[in-house]
Amino acid sequence: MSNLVSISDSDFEVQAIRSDLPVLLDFTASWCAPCKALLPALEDVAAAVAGRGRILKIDVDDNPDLAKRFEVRGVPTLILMKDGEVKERLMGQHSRGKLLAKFEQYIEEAN
Amino acid sequence: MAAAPAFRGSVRKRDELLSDIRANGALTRIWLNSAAIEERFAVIVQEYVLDPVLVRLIAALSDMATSPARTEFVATVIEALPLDKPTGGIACAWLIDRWESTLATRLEGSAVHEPARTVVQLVKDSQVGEVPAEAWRAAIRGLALAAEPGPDIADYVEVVEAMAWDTSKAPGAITDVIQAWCSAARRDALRAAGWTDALEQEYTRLARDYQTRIAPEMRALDTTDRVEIERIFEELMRKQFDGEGRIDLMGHAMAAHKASHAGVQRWGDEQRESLCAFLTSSAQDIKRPD
Repeated sequence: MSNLVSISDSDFEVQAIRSDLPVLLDFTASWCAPCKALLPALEDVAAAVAGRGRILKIDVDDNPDLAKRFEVRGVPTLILMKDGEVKERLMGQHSRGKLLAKFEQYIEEAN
Repeated sequence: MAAAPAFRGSVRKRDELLSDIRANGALTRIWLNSAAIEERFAVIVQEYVLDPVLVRLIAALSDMATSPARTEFVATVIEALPLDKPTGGIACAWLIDRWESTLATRLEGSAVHEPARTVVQLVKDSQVGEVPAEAWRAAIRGLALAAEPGPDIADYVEVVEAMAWDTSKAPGAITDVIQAWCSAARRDALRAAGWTDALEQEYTRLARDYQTRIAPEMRALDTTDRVEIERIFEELMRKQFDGEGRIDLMGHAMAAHKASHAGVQRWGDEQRESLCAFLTSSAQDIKRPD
């Protein structure tokens, strides 16, 4: 079962802003090949942080307001959030190691 | 349950894949097409009973090879795989061998050497049993907490970061290792050519400005010939750099990037040769979990 959770405008507040755990927002699109290429890495990172952090997928075509709110100009765009605040933006491709190292930084701060 | 041997032990099955590789057939194109996605590996893994990590390693190493060399490399690896054993563990054993013979020396004497050794030990341990998630996390934390590495070391720290995964659960991590290592080799070659990050930033800034200046001329070109377009682009850019008294920078950039391209080619050749040699010389002795 996938560790990635798809969210939308309607549950963004609960899933991301009010989350007790650090979250990584993955702004993606169904037509985006680099997004598909990034997916296995995100799945692995989500499994590695399970119970300590969450990865939330947001389709920019289905949720244009969220894309606008976070000034997403290209996909994939990854945004790390903690306590409802944006901490970092990551563009393009990233290795599992880099993603996990960034995520762990905010997970440790949260503990 | 014991894992099945490669190609289910069938010479016919192996030859079927070899024929496809040599003809650059449909399976090979799906497997080795870098633009494709994760599912491309599943068919090779399932149909030919090959380890998912090894299948990804072959694809990653063949990525930067030219067509005839790529075919030869992939065919050599497939031919070298024993038919009577499963292939699990081969890719990690090769990586550990490369760590001991090449990668470790890059970090010797640095503050990250010991934390990196800890990561590699976990990679070894993960080949014979389950490594707790906490142990991986502690190793990654140890690497991150080590003293800030210099730029020539930082690239190799990224290679170690990429290694810090249990590939039985995350087989795609091997692709990250190869990409990070390739990137480190590229930057080594650039540094050897005297090309610094500061020069790269300056060159990129100027090139961007000049591209904006020549954009109207490029748009007005009356040709679709890619080679001709590239020649005209280079000529116009050369005029811009020359006009601003920075032709020396352009010359240095071109020489450095040529050197980096050659460095990456050499690195790729070396890794491909080492995998073939590793399989030929020690495949029988590799510890493979059932």
